Amino acid sequence: MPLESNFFNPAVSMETIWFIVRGALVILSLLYFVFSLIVIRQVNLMTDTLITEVAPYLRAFAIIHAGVALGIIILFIGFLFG
Amino acid sequence: MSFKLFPALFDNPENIKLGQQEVDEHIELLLRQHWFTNLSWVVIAFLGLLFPFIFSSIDSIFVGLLPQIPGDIVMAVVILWYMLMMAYILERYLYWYFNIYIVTNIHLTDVTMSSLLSKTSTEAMLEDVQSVKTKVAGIFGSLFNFGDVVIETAADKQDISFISVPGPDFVAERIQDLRELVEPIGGHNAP
Repeated sequence: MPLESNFFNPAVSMETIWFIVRGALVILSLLYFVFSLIVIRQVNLMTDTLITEVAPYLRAFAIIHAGVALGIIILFIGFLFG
Repeated sequence: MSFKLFPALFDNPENIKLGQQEVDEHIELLLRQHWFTNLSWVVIAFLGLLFPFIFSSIDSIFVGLLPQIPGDIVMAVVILWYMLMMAYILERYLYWYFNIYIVTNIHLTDVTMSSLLSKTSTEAMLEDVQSVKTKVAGIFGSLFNFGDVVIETAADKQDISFISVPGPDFVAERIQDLRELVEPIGGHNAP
């Protein structure tokens, strides 16, 4: 039995609901990118407080992580709305 | 260089410096919480990583919901789930990694990363230390030898607590030794 007849008002088409879900997923990926920028800031702040030989690797990891988060936004826009 | 995932005790570390370290200051001890304190979030993260597989298995046997959802949305949700797990692991690891307790030959510092948006730092001079107490509680604390070190300082200063650090007795003894070096028994600084 189709999902829409069970759970949703037939006046709202499933396409509209999936469109909203897709939009929400892109917004969540944007929020993740913001989180990754906060991680960069905090790692920089803390590695300035405590200087260790691991610090450059942590900074590099934080930057790569933000790059991946940015890539996922583009990926989401591409395959959810492309 | 040997690699440890959760290094928690550094005795006279050579390659570690404080950002605002004084010229004649050197780090005697650098401590983090014992690796055992990470076990709860490591288990949660491990279960979280397995969750999509468990959910899809249960769904395919009992519910059959996933085939009714467009494939691109399912894939995006799975990617987003793993991103959230990554965020959780990162946040927990950084929280542990950057919550540090430092004992130098001049002062004690407790650096706390309360969240990803805030950092607090509490400092006390070694000469202000009045007493050092240790507290090892619970089965795991006794088994893995970790516990709290509470450093009471002069009345108008804030006490410092090193929470769940490895070898609390060793740490307390070391702080007492350094305290005596700064101000020998008798109450006067060495000439």
